[in-house]
Amino acid sequence: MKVKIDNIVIILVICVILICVVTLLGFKSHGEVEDLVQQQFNEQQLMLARQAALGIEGFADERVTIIEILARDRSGDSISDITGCFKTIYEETSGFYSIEFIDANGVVVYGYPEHSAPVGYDLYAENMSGTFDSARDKRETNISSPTPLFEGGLGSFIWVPVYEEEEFKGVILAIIRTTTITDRFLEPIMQDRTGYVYLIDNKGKSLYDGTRREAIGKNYIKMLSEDNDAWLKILNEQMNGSEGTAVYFDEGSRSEQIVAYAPVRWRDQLWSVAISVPASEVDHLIQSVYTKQMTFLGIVIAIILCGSLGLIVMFSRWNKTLEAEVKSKTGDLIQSNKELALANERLKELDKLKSDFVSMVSHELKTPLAAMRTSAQVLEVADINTETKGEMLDIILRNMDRQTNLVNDLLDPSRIESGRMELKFEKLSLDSIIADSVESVRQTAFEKGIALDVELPEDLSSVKADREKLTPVIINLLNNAIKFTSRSGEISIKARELNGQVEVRVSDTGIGIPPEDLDRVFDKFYQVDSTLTREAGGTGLGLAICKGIIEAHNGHVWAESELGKGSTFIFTLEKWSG
Amino acid sequence: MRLDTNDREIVEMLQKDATLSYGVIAERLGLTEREVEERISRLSDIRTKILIVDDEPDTVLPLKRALEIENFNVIEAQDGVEALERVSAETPDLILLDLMLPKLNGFEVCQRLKQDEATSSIPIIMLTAKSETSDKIEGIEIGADDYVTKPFNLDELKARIKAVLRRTAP
Repeated sequence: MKVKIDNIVIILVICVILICVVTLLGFKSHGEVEDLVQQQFNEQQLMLARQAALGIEGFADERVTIIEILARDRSGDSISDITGCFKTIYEETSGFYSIEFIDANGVVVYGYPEHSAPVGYDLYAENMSGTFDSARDKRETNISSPTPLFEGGLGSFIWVPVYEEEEFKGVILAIIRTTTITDRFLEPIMQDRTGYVYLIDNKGKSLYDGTRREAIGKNYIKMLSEDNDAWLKILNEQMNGSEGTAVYFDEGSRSEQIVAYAPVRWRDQLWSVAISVPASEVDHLIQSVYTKQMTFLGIVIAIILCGSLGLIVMFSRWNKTLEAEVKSKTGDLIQSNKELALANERLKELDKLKSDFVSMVSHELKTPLAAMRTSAQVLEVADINTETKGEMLDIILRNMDRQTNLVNDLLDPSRIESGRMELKFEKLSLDSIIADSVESVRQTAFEKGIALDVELPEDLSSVKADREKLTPVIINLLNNAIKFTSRSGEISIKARELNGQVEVRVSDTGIGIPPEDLDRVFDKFYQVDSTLTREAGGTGLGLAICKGIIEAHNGHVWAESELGKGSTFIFTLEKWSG
Repeated sequence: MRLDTNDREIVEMLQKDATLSYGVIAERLGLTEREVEERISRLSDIRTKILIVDDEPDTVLPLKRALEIENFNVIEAQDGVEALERVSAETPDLILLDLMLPKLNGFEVCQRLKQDEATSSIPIIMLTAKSETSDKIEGIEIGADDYVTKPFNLDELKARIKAVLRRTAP
């Protein structure tokens, strides 16, 4: 009992230690995974930002270059040659909001698409000539910060001066709407993702904001609440043209945001693209990784468990089958052991019967020999009287007969068994056979004071039998009856016809036979009780011989008995059928 | 031969007056005349008395005749119980005892005789068809003085009887 408790404690301690170790490892690896994913995520965000920035740079620069090519070396060309290209450029290179030509006097003379070109608009008259003058004087492209357009939204004004030799011809003004750029490069970034993108110029003005459309055109720095230093810092970095990632706390969504930012350098314009994503996104990512891993682990464990369970069930079934088989085999073995033990017992009994028989036979054979020998030796003596001589000769002759009978008795069973007994069937009247038999035992019965009673029906049919064999059977039964019946007993012989056969019954008022021995009295060498039969004598072969003879006659022999009251031996014979 | 009280009285009376009639003696001792006659004839028989115990009459008779020729007084018994009765009544000088006897077998008879002080000195020769050594050993162990197997040589048996008698003679 104590040992069991100790074992449980040890197992529990081991379990706790294992759980602790696993948990610790889990935390450690979780931290590492978190760092790794965070790093990867930041890099990915930065890459996205860079990609967007590069896209914008390329797109915008390409547009400017096209206009510059158009404006360069326009010597000999008329203005109409230049403006004639506007349509082609506008249509072939998407992205322009409008392309206009302003002549040297600052008046818009042509524009494409025509409906959005304010032809006739005089810059000087409207006092809007600052940038125009600057482009003309510096003789280089001037790109304005995105400014609100008449039609709404922001637009970048690209002023490209056109000179013919040293003669100023005018300025090509191309307008690119900020939305054209952001729709193309920023809008798609955040499709199907949380977070938002924004684009600022170097003053902190919002050019694009994925979530707060109303903020576009306004300055973030002015919108900032005072305590949001972290974002201010980011914005400053952006305005400086740096790139990187940083974290700030967003008051609006009340969540930590990871911002990846990259500069857009478009000629002298410095913008900055930023992708802002809630920090929880990383957790989501980790979580999704974990979820996938857990799912995988779960499936693997489930498969292993199911497999093990299947195996266990299979083995246990197998085991049960085996157990059942072993049980049944054991049962069989026990059964056959029992049978063997019984057979063994029976063999031992048989062996004892045989050795008893041999001992008895040797005794029975030696007794007459002893009598004969002694008698013969007495006869040798010269001076014996005649009476004694006669006695001795009688003894010798009687014992010779006795021994002959004994030898015949011993030989009969083996003759019967080997089927060498030859029967000479004839039509026999039981009357005469029974009378002969009774006559031959009458003296013995008389000596014991036993009455012999013969009751035969007058019209008893004749039987088919061998007289020489049948007579000893009846004599044997009668002798047995006399042997086991005490003085003044009674013995009766009756006969009757039954089912086409003749039945003979020899009854006595003797000691009887125990019920369990009734069948065995016909066994060879069998004697019911050695002390009884010792007293009565006999070889134990008589009934076996009777049985053999009766069965050779196609009859049956059996015994009925009540212990202490007497026995009846019954045999049947076939009727003589002609 | 051992004598009981009545035997001694008869001997005493006859020694004093040899002419006493059987009737007078019978009257004095409260016995019948016939009993007295039997006792006197027994007492006057000085031959050695041998008891043969065997249930086979055909074995007993030739042996009896042979021993009678040798001038032995032979008496017989057919079973164990009768043997014990005859031993106590007749006090034989030697017993030839068969082993396979009805009622009481030879071993039992031998054992009882040897356990009883009155009969333990009577020599016993076992006479049987059982020839196994174990039977011989058992017989001799319980006190038999010799063991002869059937069928025996009559001369040998007679020699053995004489030897045993010589050996156990007082």
